[in-house]
Amino acid sequence: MRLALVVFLFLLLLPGLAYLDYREFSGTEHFIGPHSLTPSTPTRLSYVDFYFPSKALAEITCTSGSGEVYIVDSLKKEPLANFSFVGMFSAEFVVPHEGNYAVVYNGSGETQCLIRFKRPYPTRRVQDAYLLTGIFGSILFAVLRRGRR
Amino acid sequence: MRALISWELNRPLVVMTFFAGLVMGFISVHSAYLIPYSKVHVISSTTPIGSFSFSPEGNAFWHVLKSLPRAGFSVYSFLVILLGTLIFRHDRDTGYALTLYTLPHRKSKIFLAKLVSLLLLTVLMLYLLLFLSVFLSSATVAGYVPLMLDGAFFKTLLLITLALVYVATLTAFLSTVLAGMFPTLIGSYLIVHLSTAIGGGKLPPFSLFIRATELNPALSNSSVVLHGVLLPLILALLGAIVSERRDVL
Repeated sequence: MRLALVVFLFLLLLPGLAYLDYREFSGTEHFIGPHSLTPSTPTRLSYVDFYFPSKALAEITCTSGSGEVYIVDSLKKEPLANFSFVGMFSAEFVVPHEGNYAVVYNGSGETQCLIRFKRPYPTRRVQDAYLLTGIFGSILFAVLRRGRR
Repeated sequence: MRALISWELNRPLVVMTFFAGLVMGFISVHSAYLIPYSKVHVISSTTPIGSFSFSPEGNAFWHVLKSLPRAGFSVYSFLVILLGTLIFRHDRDTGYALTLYTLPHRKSKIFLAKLVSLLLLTVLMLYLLLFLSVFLSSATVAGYVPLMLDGAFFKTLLLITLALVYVATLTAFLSTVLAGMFPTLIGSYLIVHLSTAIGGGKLPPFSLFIRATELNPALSNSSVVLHGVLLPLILALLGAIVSERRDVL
């Protein structure tokens, strides 16, 4: 009884705790790389697999080499963006949700890629999920605590 | 037995510590979730670009799970020791165990009820927080979550659980052997931490935490069976025997 009460109290406080965690996370910029990528050949695929825990505006910068860079959503298995470049490029794309992505390079010469994530915030669905958990916990807490002081 | 377990689970101090443990555990697990991660892979394949499947290490849970042994060692083992000391020693140190032990139950039965409630709290603390933080934080890709729950995921989780079970039984055993709350607390913390320094990672629970950081850990290893299953059983049995032979206070 008391244990269940505490679990529901924790669920009630969960959105607040998650907010504190995400606030720290959103306040800082995140980097991955620089990673060195060799061109992909038909038999050998070289790619950067990266994981980002929220929605963000990403800026990819690749130096040296020439060809095309594809960014693929590895969870939904659909292409996100592709850029063709010679020598060097810097472009922005949106990381739509948390999950895994892959950066594939197709061209000639080795390239170094760095991705910078700006304004990382949890998506609306994640915020909703946390808030609904909080509401659910608060209702159960109130039901268990009813009639007591 | 059920009455004893529900009594142990609802003691105010235990419940308060459990609540603090939920908050601490959530912060550590969720902070691990929020660390971006990247790695270069070179695979030989003939599949066209854009349709390749992600590698087993390239999923969100894998990343969280591989940082869990560190949190499991620093945060969870501390919490398990604290909870175990409270459950096993607090009532005897403050003196009200005398009334509890006048009930028509064998001493070893009370010991077993305490152990079961400690293991229940440990498992609840670990699994509730892990699944809650990971599932809620990946609510946008909720449909892809079943893809991520593969065999390696459950094996890693099982290893961490076994390591924490060992810590719990160690605390239970020491609480029956040593006199007082603080000797139990310090003794079990000392033994758990010494396993990182001596033996080259071959002593439990560190050996289990180390194995949990492997890519696809093997469970049918002799050290896993010995440290994760046999040793906790022996410690629990010894604790039950010693508790039967010893005076209450």
